[in-house]
Amino acid sequence: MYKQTLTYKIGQLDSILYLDKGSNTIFLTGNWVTDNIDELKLDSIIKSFDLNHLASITVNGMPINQLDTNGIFFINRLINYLKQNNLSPCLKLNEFNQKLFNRITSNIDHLKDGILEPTRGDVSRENSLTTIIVKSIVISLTFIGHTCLSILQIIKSPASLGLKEIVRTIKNCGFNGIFVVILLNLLIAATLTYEMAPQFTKYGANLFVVNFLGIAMLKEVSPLLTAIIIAGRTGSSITAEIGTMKINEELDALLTIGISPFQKLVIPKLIGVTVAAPLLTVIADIVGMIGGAIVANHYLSISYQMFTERLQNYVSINNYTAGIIKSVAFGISIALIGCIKGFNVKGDANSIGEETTSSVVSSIIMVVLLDAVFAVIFYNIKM
Amino acid sequence: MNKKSDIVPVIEIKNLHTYFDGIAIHEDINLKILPNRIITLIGASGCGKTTLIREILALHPPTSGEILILGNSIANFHIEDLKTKSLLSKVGMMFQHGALFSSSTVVENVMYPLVEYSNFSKNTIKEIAELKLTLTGLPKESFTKYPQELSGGMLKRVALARALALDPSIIFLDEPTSGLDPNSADALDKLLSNLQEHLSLTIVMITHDLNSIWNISDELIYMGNKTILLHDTVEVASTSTQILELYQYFNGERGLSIKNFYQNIRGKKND
Repeated sequence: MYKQTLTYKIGQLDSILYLDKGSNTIFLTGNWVTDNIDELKLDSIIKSFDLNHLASITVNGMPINQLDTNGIFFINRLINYLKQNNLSPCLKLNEFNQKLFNRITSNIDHLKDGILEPTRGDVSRENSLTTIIVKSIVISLTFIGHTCLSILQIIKSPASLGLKEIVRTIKNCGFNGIFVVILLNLLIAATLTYEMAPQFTKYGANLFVVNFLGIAMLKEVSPLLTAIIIAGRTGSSITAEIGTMKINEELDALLTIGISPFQKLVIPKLIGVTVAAPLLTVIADIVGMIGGAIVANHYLSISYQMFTERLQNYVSINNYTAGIIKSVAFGISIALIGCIKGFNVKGDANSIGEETTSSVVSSIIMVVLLDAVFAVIFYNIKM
Repeated sequence: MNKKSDIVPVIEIKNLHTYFDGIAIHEDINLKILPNRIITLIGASGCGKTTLIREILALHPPTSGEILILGNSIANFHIEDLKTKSLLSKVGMMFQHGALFSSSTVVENVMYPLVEYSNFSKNTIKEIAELKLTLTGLPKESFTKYPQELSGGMLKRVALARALALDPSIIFLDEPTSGLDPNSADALDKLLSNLQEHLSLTIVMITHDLNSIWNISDELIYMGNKTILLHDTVEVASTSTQILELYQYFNGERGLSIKNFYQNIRGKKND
């Protein structure tokens, strides 16, 4: 018993085939099934056969125990190898296996009828940078055009506006994002104040920390930070959602029913995010001021009352307004980019991942660019 | 011929119960599937056929009860476990909509299980994959295409080729002939019975195609009322009058003409 298992372990492959010189026969034995065939060893055994001086050869597969299609593949390979060596092998199998062999090998021969030409090379997938830029500009413009048309349509018939969908977007983007916005803005405002505190004390200008906070947080940090959070949370989810719908042919289904995907999907998301972004920014502003006030109270001994008075008298409301205006623009651009990238998804699962990444990255770049543009505009109109 | 009790059933289900959020899907299912035959699972839409197969494949845990594949309980299936893997390599599944990997080409899809389970070289695996695809009748031009570029019928063939890649002993097919033209459906039936016969396969399929049922099924399982109501040969099932719905299945307008046709053929064969 022990010996048997041992030979099975070690000689598993040696038992699969051997050449018997006396009768000019290659005997196939054992199990010719997928997990019992070691291709490398099999090849080396076949190569080691001394085929010189053989007039004819028989491949005797009668002793085979188990045979499957992958086993037949290798038997067929052996036969072909023998044929290449100018032998005309004669294969013997039992009736049952012979039938299977014929069934399978007729397909192998059929395979060789033509050479496989790749129908879609990798080259066609690569594009030059210019083409990519031109293409994406064209896509974006077409997209914005379609969106404008849908807006016009909705103005004509307001009933077609998907209110439920808008509310859902506001909830997902706004309400569910409140916690992250509060956490990040509170911490950033507190950290900024904490790190600037020594500088202000050095010049005995403790109270100016309120001016600094007012302008930095209200005008720059909270709209920007909120927009980045929205891009990460909502922009990505919009792309993934629309992309999945595209793969499931849901967008095509909408079209066949006669519903514009722009009207059904893009507009509600656009409105939802555009409403949610300034609302979140307001919360960000408030917690930013609270965070700053707490740290100012501790390290610069500015009382809460003094902080609010100073904020009211010395920080112009324009800073706050500018931040809110910016956040509206950020919201629009994030929603649009999210939708465009979603529509860009092509057929496979990889594509959803790629487009989602690209959606978040493009949104953040776009937000920062817009921020710079707004800085110039606000400076020139003295806001 | 062995006695029936000597044969180890390829699939054995004992006292299976399944609930989705408190709603019963299966109640006390007991089933033994013996090797080397084609079994068809039928029943009204939503009666839990697909769920049953998903449970056998350990894709969905049953609420209670035991499932054995080739004598091994799947309760402690663990995908990193070697024993589980070797058992899974003996099982092939063809999903209803193919479930092909969309970012791989057709050939790569069929190569997947072979790369995972065999020690063959890349070229050999590719050749074997191409062979399996030809076996299912897929034209060569399609081999390097991506799944989204194929028609529904072609997707089925690729899915079948992937299920066959490792020469499993059990194959599950979820509506293999739905959406195929009659020629392709006939060819697929022929291929299945051919493979079943030659490779000693056990095929379990869900289908609503009466032609397939009469053509290649050895046994029929009728599911209804959250359990298995009947498990017998097609002839017996088609003449059984105990279950009204099953009777209508075979003796309704569609069923009757097909039943008469096949009974005619079988009658002639027997004469």
